[in-house]
Amino acid sequence: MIIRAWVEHGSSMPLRARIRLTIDVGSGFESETTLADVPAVSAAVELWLQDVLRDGEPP
Amino acid sequence: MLAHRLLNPGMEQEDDLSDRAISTLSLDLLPDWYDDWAVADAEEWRQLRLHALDALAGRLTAAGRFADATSAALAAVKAEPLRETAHAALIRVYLAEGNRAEALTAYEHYRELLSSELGLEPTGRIQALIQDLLRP
Repeated sequence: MIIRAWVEHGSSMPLRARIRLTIDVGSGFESETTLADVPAVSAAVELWLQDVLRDGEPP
Repeated sequence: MLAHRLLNPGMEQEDDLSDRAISTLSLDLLPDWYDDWAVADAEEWRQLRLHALDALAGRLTAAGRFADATSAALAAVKAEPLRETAHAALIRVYLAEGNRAEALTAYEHYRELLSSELGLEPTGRIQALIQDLLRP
């Protein structure tokens, strides 16, 4: 997961966080989205980490 | 480096306002390389070139080179569609060359994109650019 964040000063919600996801970094990015509030970004990171943990569990 | 020179007024060289400069700043770094080290460098370059494209669009607008300024601003918008300064740079070009309708169209495009993607309105800074165009 790569998060690039910047601030749009003057906006009612100034955070901009563009999130790019890949399961296999060698295959490129699979999805991309932009979020504007911290809880949403945190939730996306948490979900991604849960996926990482689940995918890493032994069969 | 081109991008650094554009971001430091007084340091630019003659060739820095050329079509080649716009092309250079429009390119991602190693676009098909996804190794960790390449991704980090690519993100750093992406951020740098976004700022440089904004600066280049402003310099070209001030020089009266509106076609090139439009190209630079559109490259910035394409690279990061939700970045307001890129849209503001494009609107300033249109206003500088007297294309008020295009300036308003560009603003409306950004406003609709921001609304559909994030449910937000543009900031007062960019609204101020087109304020005079909205008065009856």
